[in-house]
Amino acid sequence: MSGAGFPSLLLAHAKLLAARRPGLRPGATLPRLERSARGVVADPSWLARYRRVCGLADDGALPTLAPQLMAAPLHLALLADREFPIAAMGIVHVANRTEERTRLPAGAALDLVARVAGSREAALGVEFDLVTEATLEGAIVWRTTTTALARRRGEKGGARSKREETAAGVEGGALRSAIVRVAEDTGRRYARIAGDLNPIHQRAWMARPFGFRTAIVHGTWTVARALAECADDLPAWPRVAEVRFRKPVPLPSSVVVSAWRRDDGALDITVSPPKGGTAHVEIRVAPLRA
Amino acid sequence: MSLQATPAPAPQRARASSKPHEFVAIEAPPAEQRRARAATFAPAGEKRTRHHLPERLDSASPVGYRTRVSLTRDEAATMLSVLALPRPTGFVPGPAPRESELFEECSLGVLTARQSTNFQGHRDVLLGSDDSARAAALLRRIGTHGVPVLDGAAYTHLVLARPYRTAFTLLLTFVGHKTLASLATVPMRAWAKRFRHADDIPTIGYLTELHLGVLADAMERAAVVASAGQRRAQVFLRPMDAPDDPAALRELEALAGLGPKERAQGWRIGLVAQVGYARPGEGVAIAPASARRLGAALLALRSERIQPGVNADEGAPAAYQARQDMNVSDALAEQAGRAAYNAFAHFTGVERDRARELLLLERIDVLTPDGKDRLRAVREQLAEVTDRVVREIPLWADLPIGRALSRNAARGRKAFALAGQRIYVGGLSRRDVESAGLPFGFAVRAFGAAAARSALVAEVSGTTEVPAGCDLLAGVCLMAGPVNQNDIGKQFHGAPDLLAEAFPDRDPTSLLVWTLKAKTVADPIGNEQQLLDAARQGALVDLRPGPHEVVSLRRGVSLAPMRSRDGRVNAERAFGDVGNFVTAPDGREIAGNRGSAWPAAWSKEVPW
Repeated sequence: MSGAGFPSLLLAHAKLLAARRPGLRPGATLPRLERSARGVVADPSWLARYRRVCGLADDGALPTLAPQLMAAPLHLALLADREFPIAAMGIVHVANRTEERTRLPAGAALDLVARVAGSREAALGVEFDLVTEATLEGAIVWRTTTTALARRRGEKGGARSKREETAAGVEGGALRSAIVRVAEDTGRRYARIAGDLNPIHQRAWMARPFGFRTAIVHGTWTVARALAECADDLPAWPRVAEVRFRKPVPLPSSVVVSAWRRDDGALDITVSPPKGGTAHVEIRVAPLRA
Repeated sequence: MSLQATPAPAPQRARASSKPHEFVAIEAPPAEQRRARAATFAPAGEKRTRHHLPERLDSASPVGYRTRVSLTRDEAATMLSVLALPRPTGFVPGPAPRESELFEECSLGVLTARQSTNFQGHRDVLLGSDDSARAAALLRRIGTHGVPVLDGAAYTHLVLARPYRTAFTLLLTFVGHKTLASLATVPMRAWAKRFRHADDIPTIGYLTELHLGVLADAMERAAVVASAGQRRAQVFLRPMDAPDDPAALRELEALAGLGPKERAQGWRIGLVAQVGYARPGEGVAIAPASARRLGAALLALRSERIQPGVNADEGAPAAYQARQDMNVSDALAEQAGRAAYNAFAHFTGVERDRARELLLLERIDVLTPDGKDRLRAVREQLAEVTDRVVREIPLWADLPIGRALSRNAARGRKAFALAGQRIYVGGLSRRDVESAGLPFGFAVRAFGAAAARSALVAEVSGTTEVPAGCDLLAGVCLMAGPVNQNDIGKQFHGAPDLLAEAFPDRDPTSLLVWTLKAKTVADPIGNEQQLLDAARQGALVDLRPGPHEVVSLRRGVSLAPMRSRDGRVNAERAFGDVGNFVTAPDGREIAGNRGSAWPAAWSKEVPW
């Protein structure tokens, strides 16, 4: 990646590990932090590796979530800021809303801004938003809101039923339904590209201290892989992709990626376990209306 | 990229003419007897059986679980006309094919042609137009025995084949030995099989040839259907074991990536198919939408083993338990026979009347008293062989593995069951074939094509104007199993050939049996999922390879697997836009069954 004002990934990771974070007290608000970089261009070899790990065909456009990864150093710098009260390790990605206002060419030089955009109380802790915007020639062309959950110690979710009621198969009328195999090393390969070295994505023994039986793949990989599977069915630009992360995808595993066209032109995509039950991820990609 | 037009040479031999196929309708049974499969997913907590829908399909195959496409009469007529086409006389220039076109053609060819075996015995190497020109020159040096090599091919398939080896052939290693001598003769035969590619019984060796014939017939059809009638294939099916110029054969093998290692494993060039744009008057007028439906229809054809009320399991749903008042008419049985003669003449180049003499077809009309008696006699003859095989398997091999060998042998009784209203037992006489100037192996290949085309003519009738509430009107099961069983009896116990009674003076060798079944309920697909699950393989159903497993494209000097790219392999179901996928009655679909189209950015690429 090239561009002006890019913070160091290594330094940010060191700060994330070193700093002690008190957490966000109930009723408190997050500080208004912001980081930016100008003229950020995706390195072609990085982009090729990103496409390869996500199964994306090269159509000459910047993939939907690529700017988010290009802005990863900004996100890390925000989380590593000594004023940011929440520890980065253990936060869970719960939702994403990405607006693509135009088709971005792969070589576009983007001005990127990332900021902490607010927080709210949730059942298990506190949810907060990171907003990232990409500007090209003075106009905002891409914008994403990433919602993450920071669990509070002692908070527990509502009672869960012991066994999920699962209906076999997938809803009828699908445009696509394909089983995608997720290899054990996917988290490590993607981490090298995304710059996200969270141990829960690396190896099972590294993920166990964080409450996972196996390593889990990055949510942004899951979304990118699902979008890759459905790339030819996505609504044309401008469009918005709304994502809910329901449960993590363990490594290794297989998932079913299915897609349906809705009457309003939106494409609903689910990433589910092959045996049915709660989806891992639900995605709706819809035309972006002014 | 466009192709250079080259005048076609005059055919070197008079073309064997095909009699046109006539459509024969199959009468649906009375409304109260019409039944369809209507399978559901197993309810939670209930044990899943082969009669339930599989929960998911994880496969790179272009097939998926499909329902029959109900063809219109026009579509059926188009398909039947495709089955009686003469060889092309030349090619004309046309656009270079896109990746998706090659995929769809291979889907109708090497990826599906052998529907009833769990053995991946073929590989297909695709050459672009430049390499096709080289291959054409090499074919001329090798010698094609009167079949003209055409110039201007858009691409060429080099199909490699290897000896047939499965769990069944492993079992055969233990068959036919004397009790004590078996300690020495079993290892000797195993060694010969592994290193000299020797077969336990001749009909196992013939399977490789039969499969090539089946594939040849499918490839001719695939080129036409996948291009909506614009392209044609010139198939060279004659074995290349006695080339005029051995060096040319080695060069052709090198083009296919066939080296000493592959040769030691038994791989050889089995057939070559040149594909190009049809000359004016030699194409087939197929509307693009009809071609899509015909492609989907071909991919939906499956072996039908169950005749309702005759050979269904006791635990099968009610739809399989009651007989239906249906028949395969004499007229359709005659058309099936006509198709066989047409195909044999087409591929061997002999005159059609000579083909009728050479092709030995015994038709058993099961619903007649004579037919019933004949079927009973065949069943008893085969059962006797099975009993003896089970009895005589060496205990030293069978006991340590929990009698797995004898249990597998006993399963043949069910797997090779003969049921249907009309049954063809077909074969050849080596003596007569060779006196007609045909190498026996070549004739066996052409016999495979004949049987496949005969079956397809019946299947076209069985899937045309299918009434509501029915899956189909007729199906076919094409089997080598009963013939192999009979061959064990012939080789080791002095039993007569299955065709010996019908052709007493011809010294026949039976090669295949095909059963024609008029019925409205399709077989379950559960055992296919069993096969797709690597941990539960074993039944006689196709493992259905993905394109990256058996098809390669030659570019420059390297071979690249089809549809394996950037960590992805094919999940597209060919002709999936027709939408004939199996669903539960409530509309829910089998996860993964519909598949996912290969990215357009890749499928629109022009490989050469």
